[in-house]
Amino acid sequence: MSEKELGKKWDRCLADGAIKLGTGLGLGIVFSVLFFKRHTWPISFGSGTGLGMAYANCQNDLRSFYLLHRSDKEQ
Amino acid sequence: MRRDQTGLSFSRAIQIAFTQAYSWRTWNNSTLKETTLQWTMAARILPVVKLATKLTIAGGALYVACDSGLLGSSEQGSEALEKAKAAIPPAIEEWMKYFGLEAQLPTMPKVEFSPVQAWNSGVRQTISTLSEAPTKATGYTNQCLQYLKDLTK
Repeated sequence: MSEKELGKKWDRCLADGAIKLGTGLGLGIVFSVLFFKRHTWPISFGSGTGLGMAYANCQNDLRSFYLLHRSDKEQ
Repeated sequence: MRRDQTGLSFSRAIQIAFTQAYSWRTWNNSTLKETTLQWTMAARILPVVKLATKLTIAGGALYVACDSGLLGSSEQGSEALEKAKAAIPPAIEEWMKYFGLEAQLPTMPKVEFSPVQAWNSGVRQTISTLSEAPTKATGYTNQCLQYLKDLTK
């Protein structure tokens, strides 16, 4: 993996992390206000879930270079 | 909660509403009293309606989040971000026109500041300072020692 490619992957990771954190936060706020009587824990849960999803995506993305994909195997 | 109280259906609620409106019109006090009592029983369907509304709002929010690719892979997320960035200026213009504040909002000055460039230059400067630090430290120490020697001479 070249340096440029790696840099692009990291950029994507950070942007994705920010997006998912914001989405999780937003959904957490919505659920907290509607169902959980404005407690804080749904908000933290939502942001944590968002960050976790971003982490998993980033991990997959960075590992994908070193793994053999099904499309390569079939060729 | 009394067990003999039954819930009120929607059609029955409409029927009561019409009866009450008619009783107001004709000043029929006995029917008024009766229908007001029936309205207190109608309070049973309100929690159901509230729950249904909440579920609709929450479900809609989840659907929008999943559908726009915000919770998908990184590429989908950056696509959604690009779409949002492109959609913001027209949306702001529309809102300004709606509120009649078109002339008041000054155009955002094009800031020539790139956080990426700033970060990169900061990292380079820090590392170069750290790499030069030992040499500079020995130089300064030697100068100080020389100065002190000159003083004691």
